[in-house]
Amino acid sequence: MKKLLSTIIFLLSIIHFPLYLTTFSLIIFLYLNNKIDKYIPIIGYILLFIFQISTTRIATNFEFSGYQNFVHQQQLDSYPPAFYRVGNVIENKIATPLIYRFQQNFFNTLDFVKYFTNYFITILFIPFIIGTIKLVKSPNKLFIKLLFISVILLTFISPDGKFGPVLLLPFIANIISFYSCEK
Amino acid sequence: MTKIFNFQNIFLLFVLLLACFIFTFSLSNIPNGVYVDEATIGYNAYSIMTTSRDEFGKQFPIAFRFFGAYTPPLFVYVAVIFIKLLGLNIFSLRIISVIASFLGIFIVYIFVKSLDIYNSKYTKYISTILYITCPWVIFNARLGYEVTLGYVIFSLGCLLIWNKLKTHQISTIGYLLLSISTYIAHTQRYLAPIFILFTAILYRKQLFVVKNKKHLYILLILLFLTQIPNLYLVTTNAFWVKNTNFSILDFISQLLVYFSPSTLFGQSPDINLQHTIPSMSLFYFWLIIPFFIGIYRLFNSQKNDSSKYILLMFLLAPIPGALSGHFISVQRVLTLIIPIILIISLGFDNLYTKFKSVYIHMILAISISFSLILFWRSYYVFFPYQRAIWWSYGYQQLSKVIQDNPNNKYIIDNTRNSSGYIDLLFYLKYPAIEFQKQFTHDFIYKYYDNPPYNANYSFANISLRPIYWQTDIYENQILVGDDLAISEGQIQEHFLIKIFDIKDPTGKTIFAGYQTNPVKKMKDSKNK
Repeated sequence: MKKLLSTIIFLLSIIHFPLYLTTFSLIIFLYLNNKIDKYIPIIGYILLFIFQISTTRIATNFEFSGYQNFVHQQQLDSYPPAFYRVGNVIENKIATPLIYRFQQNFFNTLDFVKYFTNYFITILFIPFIIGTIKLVKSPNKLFIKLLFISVILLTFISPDGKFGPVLLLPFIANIISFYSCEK
Repeated sequence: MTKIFNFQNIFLLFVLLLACFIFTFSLSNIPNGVYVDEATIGYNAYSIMTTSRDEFGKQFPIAFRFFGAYTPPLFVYVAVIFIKLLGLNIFSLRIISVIASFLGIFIVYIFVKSLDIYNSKYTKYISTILYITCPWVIFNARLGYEVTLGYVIFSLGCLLIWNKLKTHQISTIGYLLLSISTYIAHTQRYLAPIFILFTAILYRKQLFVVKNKKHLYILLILLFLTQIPNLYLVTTNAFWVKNTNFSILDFISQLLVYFSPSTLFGQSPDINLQHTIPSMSLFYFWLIIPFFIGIYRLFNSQKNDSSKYILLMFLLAPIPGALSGHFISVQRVLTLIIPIILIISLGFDNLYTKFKSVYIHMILAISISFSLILFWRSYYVFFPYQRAIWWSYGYQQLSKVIQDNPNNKYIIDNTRNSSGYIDLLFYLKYPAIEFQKQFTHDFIYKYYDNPPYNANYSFANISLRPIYWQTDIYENQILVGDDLAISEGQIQEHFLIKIFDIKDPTGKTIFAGYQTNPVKKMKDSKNK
């Protein structure tokens, strides 16, 4: 019964996925079910990472529109004369637009609301929450490590690639399917 | 003597002094305007103080109509005391939120002390520092309207309830505070009954015991008595103004947004720029790490009553905001502040068990100092510059012009801002008894039924209405408006003479005053 339910949710969650995501989701799924060796998910993850890189324009992280440059200049201008030098250091060395871009990438990666409107059916948010709680209670080290690595990599690569945050979606699919059905 | 000067008291004194500086520095000047919600509360409190009626002439209302919001009344009545003591000015209103936020420090401190999931002796101190340096707390500690007092009184109620609950007792004062909080802000009006219901269900074994029977009956009677005004309001339109467009899908999606890490630690999705600080999140972004650790700890010890209580506060807090069915508004979910601080503190508590406390203190000191620099940049440099227009900047200067020229007649265009009259009433301290004369007995009679009213007002030497170009230019008066209200072409065509120009800090005209030239205009019309 558990296996059947788990499989139904799994199929439901990957319904929108293209082939490569489905394949990797399946690899993790099988790994979590102790059906395959841990090296296979790692190799699959590397292939997925290559796919993420090749479908994402990393250069966009370093490109700023005319409006963004205008806002940056306006922020510099808003410092009172006495603090202009301090402002220059803050705006050009500490709180640079590039740092904000990475920060934005990080929070876009963690924006689970987006996942349940763009990639998964909204109702699957409930098994996702249940799955997350169960994952926290009985964590699988490799799964957690790869999940964390995905968040960090997407922060620097950008989650807004042609196919979205490809590096993260299989993990969410498996939290929904596998972990939500765990006892 | 040694008991007074122990580490705990010295540290708390340090926190209070730091909070005093952060919460009150340049309080009257930043935000650098008086937002309409502040002005309307200030003027209505002034009106109650001088006439015992609100701006419309309703005697001691149980919900203030304002702009149709029917705001719970307690903050206005509290403001009466401060206006009586300190005068009608923005400091008198904002100081109430400052005092409430001071109370918030003690609430956080005592909460951490009384919840048995914290192991480190340092956590309670860290939690107070996190509270007073949190951008969301500081921003709301400096507002002159009801939201801050609302969340603090609600949280105080939660604290007192918890302190009795852990010994299987009922806190009458705690529940009464929740009941009173429903008269402070809209959020608490909906949240308090939900919270009471859920605590009753979750902690039924602790609450519904024989020894509490008498307390329970007394509490129910007191809750009923304190809720009589609200029960009356339920029968009127005034109670239902905030949730007219409810849909279950909106509710779920808004809940998700309020809980999203991106909302709390990244960029706020609140489209009302009056509610946020430029380039600043609600909590500092790096706090997401202890937050997740805290969440992990909570879910790993969810059978513990303390964990359950924090989770309850955390999960219920955004419900009124999500129920309102409007766009995302972070001011409707301020009750999230204290549970999130408790969760982040729990994250730090966990770190204390893994790392040496000296390292954590060093990292914390560096991170907070760095964050306070970024806060200074966002709040004291960018905020007055970029958000002035959202805080009704310019009305103070306009009032000064009007006050200095009592013999001139002013027509102020209100096409795009029908609520501007309240700022002028606030700054001019216009006698409330005179203003109330504009409203009929019928309007007062139907006060709680949200009767329609004309937003064009005339008082003193001012008329707030659209400019009637066919007639206004033939009278000797001053037309006031922004660049959209009075164009360059109209200035040329009607021989208007610019006599003042009020600009915001970015240099954009907010109000320009033009003297009409009826003699020249009539001559020109005749020639044509």
